[in-house]
Amino acid sequence: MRFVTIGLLWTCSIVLGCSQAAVPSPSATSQNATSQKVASQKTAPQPDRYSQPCLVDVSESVGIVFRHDAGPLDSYSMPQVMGSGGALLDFDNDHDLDVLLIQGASNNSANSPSGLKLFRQDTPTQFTDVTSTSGINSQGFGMGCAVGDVDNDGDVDVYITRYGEDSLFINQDGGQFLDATAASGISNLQWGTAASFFDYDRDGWLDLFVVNYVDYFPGSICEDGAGRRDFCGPESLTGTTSKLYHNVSASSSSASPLSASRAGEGPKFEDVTVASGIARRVGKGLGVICRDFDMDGRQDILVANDGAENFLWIQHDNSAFSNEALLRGVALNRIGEAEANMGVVADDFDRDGFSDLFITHLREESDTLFRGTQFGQFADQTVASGFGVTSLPFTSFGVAAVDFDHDADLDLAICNGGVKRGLRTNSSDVDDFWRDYAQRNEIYLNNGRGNFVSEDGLGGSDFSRRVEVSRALLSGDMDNDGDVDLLVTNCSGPARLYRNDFPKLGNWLTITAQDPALKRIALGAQIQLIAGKLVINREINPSTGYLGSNDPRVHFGLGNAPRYDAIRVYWPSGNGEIEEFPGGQLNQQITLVRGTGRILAGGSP
Amino acid sequence: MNLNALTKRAIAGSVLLLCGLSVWFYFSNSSDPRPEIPLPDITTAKLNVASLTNERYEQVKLNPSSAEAWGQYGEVLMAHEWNSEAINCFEVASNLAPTESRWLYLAGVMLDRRDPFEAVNKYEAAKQLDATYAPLYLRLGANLQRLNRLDDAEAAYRQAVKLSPQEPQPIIALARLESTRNKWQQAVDLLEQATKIAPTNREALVELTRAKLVLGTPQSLSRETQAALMSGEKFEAMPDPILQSINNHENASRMAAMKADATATEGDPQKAAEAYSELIKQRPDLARPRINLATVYMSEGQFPLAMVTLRELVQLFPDDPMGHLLLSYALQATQATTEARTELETAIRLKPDYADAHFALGMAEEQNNEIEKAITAYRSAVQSNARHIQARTALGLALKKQGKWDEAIAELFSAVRLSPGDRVPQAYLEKAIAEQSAAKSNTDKPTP
Repeated sequence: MRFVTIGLLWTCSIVLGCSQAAVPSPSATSQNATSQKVASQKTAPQPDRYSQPCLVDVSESVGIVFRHDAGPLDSYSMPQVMGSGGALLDFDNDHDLDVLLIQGASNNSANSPSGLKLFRQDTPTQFTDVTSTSGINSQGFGMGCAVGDVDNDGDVDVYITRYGEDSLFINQDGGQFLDATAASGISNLQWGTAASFFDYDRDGWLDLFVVNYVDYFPGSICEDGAGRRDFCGPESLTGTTSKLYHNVSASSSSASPLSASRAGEGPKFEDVTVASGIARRVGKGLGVICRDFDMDGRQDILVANDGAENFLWIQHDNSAFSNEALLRGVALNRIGEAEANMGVVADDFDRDGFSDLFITHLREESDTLFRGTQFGQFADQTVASGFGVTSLPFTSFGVAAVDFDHDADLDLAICNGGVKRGLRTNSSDVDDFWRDYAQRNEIYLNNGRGNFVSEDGLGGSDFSRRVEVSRALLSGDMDNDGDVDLLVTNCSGPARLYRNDFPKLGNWLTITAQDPALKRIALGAQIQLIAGKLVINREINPSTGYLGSNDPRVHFGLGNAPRYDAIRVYWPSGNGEIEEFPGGQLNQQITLVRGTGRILAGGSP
Repeated sequence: MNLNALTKRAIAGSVLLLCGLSVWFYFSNSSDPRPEIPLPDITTAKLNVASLTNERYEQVKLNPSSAEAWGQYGEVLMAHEWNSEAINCFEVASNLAPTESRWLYLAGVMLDRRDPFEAVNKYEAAKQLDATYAPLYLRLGANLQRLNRLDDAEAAYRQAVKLSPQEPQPIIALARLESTRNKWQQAVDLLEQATKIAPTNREALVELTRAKLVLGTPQSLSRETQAALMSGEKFEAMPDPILQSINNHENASRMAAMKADATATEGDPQKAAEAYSELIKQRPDLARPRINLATVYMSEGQFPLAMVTLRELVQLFPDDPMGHLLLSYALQATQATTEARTELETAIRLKPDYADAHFALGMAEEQNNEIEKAITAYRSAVQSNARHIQARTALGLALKKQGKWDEAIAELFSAVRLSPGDRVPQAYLEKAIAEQSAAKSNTDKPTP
């Protein structure tokens, strides 16, 4: 009897325990749970290996006080959610980086407290707002900018894109800018987003490529699936053509790039969009990279199109361009889908000598890594590189390829923020309206073979802790301490300067490549650094990412290499000139001056 | 311990009662899922969307054990982008109807891209129940490929090919997979097969061209291939009857808009006008139906009716530049040129890159014989849209009138380049070249 009683009691207890699990119920596949599940499945959760913050917000302490104004939000005007960018530039030639931040909706006059801002770096810990005396101001909704010396007079000029007419500001001397748009012949009335200066015809004068977005009608009403007002997306809008402006300053005066600057004369441009073939395609451009993708010595152009096929404009003999994105494997992802395509960087992530591409996308689309192969072909290697599912929860915009820890491989920083309503956050970093759009940022560290692992904690870094609607991500060595820092712009939020405090795993070198005949940095020059077995290739191009212009110097992390053995520069002159400079010590900034090295190939111009 | 009989009976009775209750509790819970019915925040949704959603929610409340009720609720949620709630509903429906593959498939579709791991699980479960649905294998293959499970992806694509041998998409997917593995010759073979099935399929033509390029195979591009490379059209998707049936649940106004547009395209203006008028009643908050209605009226020459609609439009939507432009057309047609110009200027002020408005202004200036002003307006049109063939052509002709031959010919030449099949700019260009030659000959002739 006793045993029967005990047996019955035992059976009852088991039955009672099991009954809790017997009810079939929906899985916890809420959006939040999905994100967490996806994130946890990428690798086993990594403990935060950093004992102190790696990226520290120093904005206010150094005097960079800027808040983006998206304008009245009840209109859900599309430009508002696209954000604005900026530039890291040395406009006063004092060898440190200054900061230009583009404003969105406010009255952008120089005297408006909420307008565009130009900050001059006085010391690494002190920036001064010099907007009111700079001469740079603008109307309309500011988007991005390009920086370059278009008149070869030794100081950088600025082109600002807008929803509205773009502007070209020429640096007269030491930071006094003049609006030279009308005189220059440039007139872009369309919605300009990204822009890049580059010398496509290799005549020594910087030309301009402007990416245009969509044909947006103000007052358009867009809704989400439930019929609530939301920002319009590109899918329902027509695309536009990008613009190519040829710098004809050389032919418009007797001066040549080799002579002294022509005081009092502004640069002149000719719209060659149709003649060059660029007008053959209509796109929805947000990002651009000008680079020699097929390694034939001529600059080509990659345009990242939002929700549509990317364009890869390959330049041919007669300065004509043809779009070969589909044929070279960068128009679509590996499944044959067009993705959002916002920010874009190009660099050699796996150090195989071929340039790779990384492009950022919407939530529910993984950011894409295209590996470059021979003959200018690309292959989507997103999943193999570690990005398959980790980036799915995020809408990513700005991106920067930086060796944060100097271990000789390029890492990736990505800033995020939605464009459509998503999972609502409780973040106190944003106003209530933006809590449906705010997301955190990401850092991916390269393991040396072009495979990436997401680092979430970073020692409690501000960069990955903040949850905002981030847009442009600019990179540069702001404090000249040998590592690369980051600057993030946010929709309706403050710009944030993050100082790089990563523990360093090796040595570094920063290079400026100067062409004295042109009195400027040689945009488009390819730098090859050799340090023992390490051979690292970079190209000088500050116009990468999203809506921004970065530090034009080239930064190398070199691991435990004790010194560098040689540097080769492929000057963008069109005569195949390769110049070699001797080796030297690491952990310094150097300037390579054309004509002072040993010519390996090609001749002097 | 020596228990008396009564106590023993009491203990035994209590134990039996306890066991009985436990057993009853277990079986009653296992037969009644009682999951919580998800309800999204419909307080801010459009009235018709909220009403439809609520209706389906109530159906589920009334029939919590009905897979069909849960599934249909999920379909409505899916159509209105309440994604996590839709997934929940499909999962419950699949639990309640474990032999029905549809709900598992739809759950997989919702999880596509959001969670490829879980999407694969759903598709695998669905194919156990119905191994004949080709689109399932295509989606399964795509998710497996996203997870770098290439061999499994290949198996899925091959099954899709087997089930739908007349559709090119699975063959193309297989070819793309082979190219990912650098097996370009295999990719070419598959793509040639796809182009035989669908000779004008853009995706097949493009991928085949690329694969041959990588292999270094010399090729001359057919006209279809050239068109495929130049076109920006999206690739054609494989037909998916299950998803197509979901579209029927989209909210009524979207369906009405589609119907109205379809009627307009069919060339029955009377019916199109009726459909748009009905849509305006349903959705007075939208500008587009009024714009389309006005366009229909204008295409039939019914300008007074168009003007009524357009005046209403610009009053309700003063910041919509298209309304002002269309109103200017209607005013111009009724000779109210001054008011037409004001509307054009408003359109341009609202949207400075409005190429059509600049072009219309240029035409108005030309009618007033203000050729220089017309040139300025046409230039603005071209700067706003480099591919505006009419504006370039008009600009060229206006420049010609002013004797600016080189510029005129350059613009007409650009128009021809942008639209090589269009005879109109070609004819103007040829005429301009001829006239320029004649003009030069006259100036070169020595005076007697």
